[in-house]
Amino acid sequence: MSVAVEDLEMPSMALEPDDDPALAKRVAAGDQSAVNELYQRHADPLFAFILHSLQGSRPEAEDVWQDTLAAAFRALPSYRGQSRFFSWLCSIARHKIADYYRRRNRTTQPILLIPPEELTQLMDEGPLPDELINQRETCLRVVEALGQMPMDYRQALTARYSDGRSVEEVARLLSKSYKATESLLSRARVALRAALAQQPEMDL
Amino acid sequence: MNDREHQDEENLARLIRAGFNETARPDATMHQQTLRRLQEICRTEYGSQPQEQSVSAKAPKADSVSRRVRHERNEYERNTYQERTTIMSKLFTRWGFGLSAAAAAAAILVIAMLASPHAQAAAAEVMAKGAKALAKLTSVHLRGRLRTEPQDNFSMISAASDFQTIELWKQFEPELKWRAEKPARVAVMDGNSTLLYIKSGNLALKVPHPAPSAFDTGWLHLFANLSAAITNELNNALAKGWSMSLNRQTGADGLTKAVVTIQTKAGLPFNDYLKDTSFDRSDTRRVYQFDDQTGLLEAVHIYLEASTGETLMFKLDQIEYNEPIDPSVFQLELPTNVIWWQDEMPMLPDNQKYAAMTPEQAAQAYFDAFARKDWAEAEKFRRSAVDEGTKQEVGGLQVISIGQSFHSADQNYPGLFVPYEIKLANGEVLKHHIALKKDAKTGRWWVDGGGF
Repeated sequence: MSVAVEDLEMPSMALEPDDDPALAKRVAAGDQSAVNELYQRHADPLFAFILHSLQGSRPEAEDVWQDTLAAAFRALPSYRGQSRFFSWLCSIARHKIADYYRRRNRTTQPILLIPPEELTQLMDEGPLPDELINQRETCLRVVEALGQMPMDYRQALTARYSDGRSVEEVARLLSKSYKATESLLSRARVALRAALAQQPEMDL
Repeated sequence: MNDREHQDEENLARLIRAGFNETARPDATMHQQTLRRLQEICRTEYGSQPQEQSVSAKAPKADSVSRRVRHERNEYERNTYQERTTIMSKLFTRWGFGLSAAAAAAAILVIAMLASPHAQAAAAEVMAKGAKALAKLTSVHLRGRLRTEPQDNFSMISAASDFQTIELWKQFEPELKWRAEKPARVAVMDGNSTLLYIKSGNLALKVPHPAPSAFDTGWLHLFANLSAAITNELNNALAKGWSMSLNRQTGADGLTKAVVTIQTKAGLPFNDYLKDTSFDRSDTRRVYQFDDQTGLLEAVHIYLEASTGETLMFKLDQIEYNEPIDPSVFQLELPTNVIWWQDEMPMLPDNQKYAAMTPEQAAQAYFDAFARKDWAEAEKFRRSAVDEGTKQEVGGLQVISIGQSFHSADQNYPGLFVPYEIKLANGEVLKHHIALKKDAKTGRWWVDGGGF
């Protein structure tokens, strides 16, 4: 008798984004395992999306991320699959981010109260505001594109390019052969390029 | 790949790094808190039943893998010694076949019902059922993956290391035999004696007994001898306050699975030198999955819970029950030039000189011997000859510094550690700790690991 069971840690590996509406229905029907699957699929890219939107402010990103997920899971019965699930999450996140800025602006110190001599100290040689905005826009587009990709594509791409692992290491991580991993990476690159190419002004 | 394709890939890598790098992900604690919150929301909103949390944060970024590799590179001697002490002091009693599986299962149920809350008793019942199922076995073959170094001790774990395949073949009938293997280390019990061979050091150690488990393979044998595992886990759960829980879920094959989760605590300070180097020195979350119908163990996942997050360390998901095992599996041919471990250190003519050394002086003398390529002198601090590879690699080194010795809080380890920094002939600088232990007969310090 031979027993080989599925990976306990990543039960959703085989699922494609198209399964998200089904997962959402399962959650709304009280299936707790679907909560975990939906979370594992989207929690990380959603965090990256919010973090970049908030210009890298981590504590605020954590709060907004939790609020977004909580709101989304409460609103699951209203999700009908009209848009990609990750896009739907991002739209909720944008509202939460706007709420955050509204709250923050009410408490932000007016800049004129800062003494002129301290203003010069605030200047540095980092990127100009336009450059920062462009960088942030790029990050958001990449994260959004990655968030909509199948789980195995995203895992392969981030392990290879973000974490800097070799193809062999990625193969071990995903429990695939070297050749299968090369092929997976190739398909994932094509898919990501296609997703990014649909967005304007992306230099590939 | 041509230049254009290479540039394309570089651009893609740059974009992905910018958008989704390591710092743009939540940490493990945040993951756990958030998932719990969502589960609670779904329980409230949709009336769903509590279920095992299965999310695991990504492994923390490896600190210096190359440093870790250097660290572990030549520790086979320490491993071997630890294995020897393990044989003598632990394995026969700790993981022995003192109880039959059925008797153990009954005992476990009594313990669980008397002393533990309902959830714990239910978890124990599932494990006891697994033990009964395993009692009918004639053989088992386990194949899993462990984060460790290929040549390292069977029980040694390292979150910074990649997964290595680790296997156990165990034959119960007609005669107990077993073989444990990882890429650069193999142990075989052929029914008469028990042999360890470390390929990377060409080093062998033979115990003239048919040990039921040995050379720090005990933790692996537990999964083939579940009654002992359950006894161990339950005793610890009661004594140390470990928690156990049971959940049922549908597996990929559509069948109901019973999942027992045990949270373990090693009780070592977080900054102890030996913390997180083996499962019994680590805080872990152990997940056992059983077929709910047959009671057979199907999978085991062990997660290391460290301050930096949770990391999957061991994944056992290939288990073959009652498959005939080829007799050649339990035979091990050694190279003719194999180096044998010395059971006893010889008394030296000037033994007193060495016996009077402090640990720091012994470490200094040991490295000085390598600096002079005086192998005979170096071997006065070892239990095996210096192999040719080691001579080539570290002969002619230069000692930069030797620090103050210290002990680990793990009182099961009787040695101590001396920090050192050396420069190899090729210019590479190694900064590490050498493990020294005092030989009872000669009174000399000998190198138990962390060196070469």
